[in-house]
Amino acid sequence: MRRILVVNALIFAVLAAAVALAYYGYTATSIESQEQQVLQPLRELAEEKVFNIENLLLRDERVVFDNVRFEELSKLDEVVNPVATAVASVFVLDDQGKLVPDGYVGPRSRKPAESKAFRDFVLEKVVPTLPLSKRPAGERGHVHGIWREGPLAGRPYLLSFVKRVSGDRTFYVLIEDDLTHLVAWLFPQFFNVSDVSKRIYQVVDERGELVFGAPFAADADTLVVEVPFSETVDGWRLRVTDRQMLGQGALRRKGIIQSVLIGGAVTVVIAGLAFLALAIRRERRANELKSEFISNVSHELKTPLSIISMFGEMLANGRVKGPDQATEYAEIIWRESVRLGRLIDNVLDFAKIERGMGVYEFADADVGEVVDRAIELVGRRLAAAEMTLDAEIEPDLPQVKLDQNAFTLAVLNLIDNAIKYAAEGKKIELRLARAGDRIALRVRDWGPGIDPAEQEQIFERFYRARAVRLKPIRGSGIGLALVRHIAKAHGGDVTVTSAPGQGSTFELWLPVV
Amino acid sequence: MTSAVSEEPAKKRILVIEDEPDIVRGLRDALEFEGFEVQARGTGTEGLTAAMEWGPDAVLLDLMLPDDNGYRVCETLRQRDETVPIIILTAKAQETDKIRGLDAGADDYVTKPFSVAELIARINAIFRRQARMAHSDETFTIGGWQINARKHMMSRGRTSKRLTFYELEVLKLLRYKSE
Repeated sequence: MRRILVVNALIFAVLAAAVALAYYGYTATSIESQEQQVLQPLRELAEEKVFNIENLLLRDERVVFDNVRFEELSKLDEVVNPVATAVASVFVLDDQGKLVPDGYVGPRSRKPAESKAFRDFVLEKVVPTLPLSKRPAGERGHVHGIWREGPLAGRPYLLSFVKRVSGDRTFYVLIEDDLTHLVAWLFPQFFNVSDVSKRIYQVVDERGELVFGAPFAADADTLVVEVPFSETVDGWRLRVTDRQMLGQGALRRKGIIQSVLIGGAVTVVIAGLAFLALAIRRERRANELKSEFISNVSHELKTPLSIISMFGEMLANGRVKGPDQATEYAEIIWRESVRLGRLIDNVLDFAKIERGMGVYEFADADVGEVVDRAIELVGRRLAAAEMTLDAEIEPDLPQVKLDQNAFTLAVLNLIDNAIKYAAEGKKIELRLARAGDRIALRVRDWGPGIDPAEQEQIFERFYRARAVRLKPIRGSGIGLALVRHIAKAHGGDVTVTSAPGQGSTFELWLPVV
Repeated sequence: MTSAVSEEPAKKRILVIEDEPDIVRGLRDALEFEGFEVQARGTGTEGLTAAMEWGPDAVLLDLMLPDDNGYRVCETLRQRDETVPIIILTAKAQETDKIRGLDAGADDYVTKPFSVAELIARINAIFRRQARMAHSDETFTIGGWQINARKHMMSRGRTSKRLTFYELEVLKLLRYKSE
């Protein structure tokens, strides 16, 4: 009992371990975590690039913001152009947002007319919309978008501004950043766009249109990191992907394969455990039956032995009333010896079969003759049980490959069972006939019949039907198991048809080759 | 010959509870040959009934009976009759079986195959022991209680109680020590 508990506990523990392992295996290899493993370095890289690019822009802006002197606006051009390459134009506004005299420098590349148009457009249309006064002095603000109208309509812009306080004067410095410089000059420095680079970069605007970099098809399988330029062109995003990941969905497939492998392994473990549990149960049942068998067999062996020894002793000591009684005792001894012999044969044959030794020796034989001989052997037992055997054997049956000894044993067991368990029926009917490609031996009795629930179990080794166990009928539980084994070894089988109170018919069939 | 003569005491009665007809036949012949009167029953239930109605002097009991567990039959027999000798006669030869059988109230345990002479010797030994017991003091007194060793009863005033075999043995031991 304790061992069973230990075994069950072990099985449960292994099961729990397998499930835990599967869970951790799954989480470790799940698509999400693998994605994280790949995406994390990509994200760090992208953030670093964005930081550096924005830093360059902000540095150039800072030069302008810091160096504009309200008193020296005539030198504004000198402040802006030589150093601040990322700055396109600068506006210096008074505290009312009006351009102060000499407070504008535009890009040299822009034609004067275009420059003026742009300046007027900014001052009239854009500046009134800017949140100039909302920020504390010195703190940079920025606006990014696409010109909807004006001379540069359709082009992107980035405007940065700072409130300056100099003495008792408040003014604003407004910078138009040079996005062409950003795209044409800064981006190429940071993003390797050659075909051999491991990473692929692109910058897209708020509409998702490519601003810079290589176009790549970002399907659902492609792992892409997106980082916005939040301090500057905040509608633009840097997108980075790994060339290996491009469009292949390799990671996902890898994840799926790993999940399938883990699932398979766990299924195998669970199936193995189930099989083990089943095997243990079957073995335990076989052991129970075996010990019952040992007890049955020892009882089976000891009973005839007791009878032989008892009557032998009485004969030897002259404890007999006369010669008739002596003869009777001798007959009992002889009968019991035969019974004992057959039982030993059964047990030994069964043991041989159990050990799986090649016990059968097949040769062409006439089944009819073999059955006839078996009937002769049971003659005395039939008479003792006051039963009759009605046998019909079809003549001219074809020869079949038989192990004669084994087949005789099978037939004897079937008839013996009928004598043992169905004696009250008084008769046994035996039919041996060909049916198609089979030769069938049917043994019919008129005994108590067999419970339908037990009709298959009675062919299991050591199993004895409940009704039989309650009767004073000796048996070891191996007879029918032996019959079935012999039948199957001959390529046939044995079956039973029975109903309680109706008797039983056992059919042992062999194939005709 | 030891055939019964009218002056001799009545034959000892032996009940055989055994399901195997040949064994019953042999036992009956052997025991009758020795001058016992024998009745045989094939099931535990029939055996218990016969033990009550017929009142045997000893019971030979097989353990593997078709209708009931032999140990249970033995216990029931012992509950109904404290004194009748019970000899278990069985193929079960393991030590645990013997202990279980003796604990169930059997006086002796004989395993199959057995020697008829030995079995009869054991039966006779039990009867001799019983006869000696019968001659020993049947009643004695402890602490105001009258103890009847033959009837396995103890009584004081109007109350009386049955004694089990071991209880009686303990009381006998107490009396022996106090003397």
